[in-house]
Amino acid sequence: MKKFIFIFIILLGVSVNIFAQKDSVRNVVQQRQLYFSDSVNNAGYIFAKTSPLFMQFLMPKQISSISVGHQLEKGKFIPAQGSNKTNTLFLSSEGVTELKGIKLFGSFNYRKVVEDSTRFAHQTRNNVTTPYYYGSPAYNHYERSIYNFKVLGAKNILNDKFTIGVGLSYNIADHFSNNDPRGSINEYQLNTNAAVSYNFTSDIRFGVGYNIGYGQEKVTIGYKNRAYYESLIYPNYVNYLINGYGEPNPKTSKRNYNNLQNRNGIDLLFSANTKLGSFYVRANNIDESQTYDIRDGDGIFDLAVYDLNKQTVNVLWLKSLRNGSISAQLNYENINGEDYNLAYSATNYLFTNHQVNLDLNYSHTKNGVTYNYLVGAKQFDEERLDGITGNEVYFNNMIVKANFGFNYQLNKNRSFGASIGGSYGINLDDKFIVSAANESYFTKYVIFHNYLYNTASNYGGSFSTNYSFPFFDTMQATVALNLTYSQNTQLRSLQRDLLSIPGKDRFFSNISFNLYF
Amino acid sequence: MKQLIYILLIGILFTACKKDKITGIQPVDLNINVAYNIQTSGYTLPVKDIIVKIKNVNTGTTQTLNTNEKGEIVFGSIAAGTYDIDASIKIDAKTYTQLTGIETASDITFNASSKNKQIVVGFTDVVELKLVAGSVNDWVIKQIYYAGSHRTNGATFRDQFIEFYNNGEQTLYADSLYFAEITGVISLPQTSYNVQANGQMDWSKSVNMPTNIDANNDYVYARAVLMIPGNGKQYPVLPGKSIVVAQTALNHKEPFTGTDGKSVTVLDPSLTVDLSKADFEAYYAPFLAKPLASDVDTPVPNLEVISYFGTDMIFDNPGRYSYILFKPDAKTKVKELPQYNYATKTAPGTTATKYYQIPNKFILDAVEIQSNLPDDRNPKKLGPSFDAGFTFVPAGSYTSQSVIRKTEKTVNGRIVLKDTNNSTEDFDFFNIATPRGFK
Repeated sequence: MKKFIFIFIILLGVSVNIFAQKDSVRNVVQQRQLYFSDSVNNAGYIFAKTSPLFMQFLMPKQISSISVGHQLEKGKFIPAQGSNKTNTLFLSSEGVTELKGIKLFGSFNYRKVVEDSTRFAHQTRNNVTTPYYYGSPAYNHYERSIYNFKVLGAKNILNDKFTIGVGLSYNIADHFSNNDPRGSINEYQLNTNAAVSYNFTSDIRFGVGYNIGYGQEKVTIGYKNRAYYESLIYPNYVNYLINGYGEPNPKTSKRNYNNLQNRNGIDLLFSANTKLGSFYVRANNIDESQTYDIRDGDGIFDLAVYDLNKQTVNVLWLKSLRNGSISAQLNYENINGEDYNLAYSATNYLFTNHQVNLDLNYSHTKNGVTYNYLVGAKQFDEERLDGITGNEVYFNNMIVKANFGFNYQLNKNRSFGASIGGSYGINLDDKFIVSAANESYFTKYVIFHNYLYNTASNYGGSFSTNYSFPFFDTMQATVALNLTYSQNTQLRSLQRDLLSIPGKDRFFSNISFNLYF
Repeated sequence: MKQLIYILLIGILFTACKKDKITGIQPVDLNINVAYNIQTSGYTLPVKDIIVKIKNVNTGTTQTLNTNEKGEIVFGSIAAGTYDIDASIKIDAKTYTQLTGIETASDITFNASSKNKQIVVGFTDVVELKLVAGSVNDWVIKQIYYAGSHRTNGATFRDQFIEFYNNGEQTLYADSLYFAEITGVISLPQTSYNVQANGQMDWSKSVNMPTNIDANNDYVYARAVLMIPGNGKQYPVLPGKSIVVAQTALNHKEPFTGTDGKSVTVLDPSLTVDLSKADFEAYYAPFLAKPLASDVDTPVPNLEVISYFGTDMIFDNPGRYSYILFKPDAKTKVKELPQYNYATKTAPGTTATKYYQIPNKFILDAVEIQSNLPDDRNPKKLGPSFDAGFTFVPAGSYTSQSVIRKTEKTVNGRIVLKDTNNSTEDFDFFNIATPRGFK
């Protein structure tokens, strides 16, 4: 694995180094760094990663970056199954280039995540809607090593009448806790995408894509201390099988399962370049089936089935103005999850989540200073139903946010940037039906906590700054710092036996060293 | 711009209009009716405010409610699952006498239970519970140390003991007091035996079982029966005092020399107990070709062994058997009680083990032991008149823990132990078994 990573990074670097040597070096590499300091550019670049067909419009011809850094998240204003403190070291590299008419994007990302204390969640962090997983009241110290590779490629064919594109994302991760109950989760995800667009004109294109993907999670729980292993006397260390959104059952033997995931879906893609600006639309529908089973000497036995349907619509509008540029991005997401409880041969758990997010960016440059303005609003709601207990928990929230930043170009190809932002979140609506007859550890630790967290009003502020300078003549380096603070202003009053409630605040920091070339 | 705002607003309205979804599974309303099992009596007893407790054996959730004036109660919207259901009412002595005309000096507790009751999705039946008065005697089983201690650092099973207590106001004599480890179905699923509807063994189908008796409800079956010796007045036990019956009456914290001449030691003395002051011990060597080296015959009086299982008075560490204390009437010789095979579906062999059939009427006290793990529990062997519940050491086998009867009150310095014939309520546990200890 390590060899592969190094080769990948070197290839990315070499492909761009060759180019860099042919160019006028410093100015060019600085322009590449400055490309990302423009919030409108950045919005387009991120949007382009959603489909290979957008690359040629929303990504520069040639750009590469490498980032190393550290993230710290700390504070108890978190969901019940979050981590009180998370340290993350990351190394990422990505680049865009064009080879023989093929637009290529490649990225590699490695993260080493150390979660200080996580309870009731022997899970990866990318399947949080599932009803089926293990957990225990005791805090676990989780370490996660996560590797992700992504490749996109697109080419115009038949006199540019058609564009074909392919994408591949491969994710492999190892998660383990080094205290009892010890969870070990090995995970891989492979997602592929193929798309084709018909270009009615050079400015109007309509495309379709097909996605297919596979994944697997292998989960095992073990103990070092046999006293915990053999009994239920230490409730903190009991391994529970959560299967829905109600009280779980202790799982004292055969503490392992596989989760096999299959997904497929279609993309509808549209782009238009008009006098009103450029429009990019991607509508996506993915159906995912998760089958949980256990495999031993007696055979393979199904444990649970969980189906997910995810629909997203992403709309990006870009418009160049006389003094700058503006972008609007609208993202809509709708997730529906439904299990099939094999013990009762019926649906027990339903999950729904809707999100609508609108971000408006305005960016303009004057006298060597780029100014970025952002206003945005996000509405999201989520509901979890558990049939066995009759639990029904729903919330509907709104967050509004604003951000202002600038990037000031200094002499000698240096620049300095900073931004400040703020957000405010409120709960619009909620529903809480949890019978007292069915409450025990999970209800008290997780369901109550999450309800209070999700219905809490909160505000936050952020500050970021960066300093950029030439690095070995062929690269531009940036040291960046981002600080975010959020605080809950009011928790709901819940007259129940609360074992855990959200804390006051949450702090996030990210410091990174980035190279652009 | 306006168009985008409209799109956003439409999106918000769309998602804000929450559709009600329905799961295929719904919670259950559990209806319970509680009545007394005294239909033939000429009196009535109160059915209002009977305490009914339900416990989900897997999730541990509990709920306690009182019945209405008809003895009915509904536990609304409970999760489907396996439940222990207990009903209990204590009628004070004066009221009981007024209602029944039966003179009694002590309060009467009625119990009923339904253990491991499957409440499935869509359950609409009414659970009927019949209260019976427990047999309250002065002799009670006070402590059972069946778990044993750590297999490497402790004394494994050789430090086990059982303790009996005089819970009354008069001096009792332990002479000719019997106790037994009773048996039945101890593992599930069960395919080898004929079983009753409750999953417990159907003893009526044992070979040669008389057909004119109620083999399942009027008797229990013992795999080990032991008797305290004595001439009738040899071993007095004062009120509030107990006798300790050890497997081997030694201080297990200290090294001792086994019958093979080798030293027997424990690595961690704190895990085991000092039984050198026990009142009696079991000594099996005379019956065995190869007795255990740890079965030392100490100066402590030996029990009389009526029947035995294994190589010493070794209690089952996982807690699959239960215990009774009993005393037969004057005309009954325990050794002559009938013995029967397990009620196997296929005919037992001629050498198959037989078990003493002990009439319930002889039982002074009984304690149902079960596994600490819900999935490993078995159908109850004892009826509600003896033990409506069950108890267990929460940490399980080889953990030094014992089950200990709770203290109810102290009267003039005499500790009275709780005895409602429901060991779920009457018992607690010691982290380290403590002979003659109280909790």
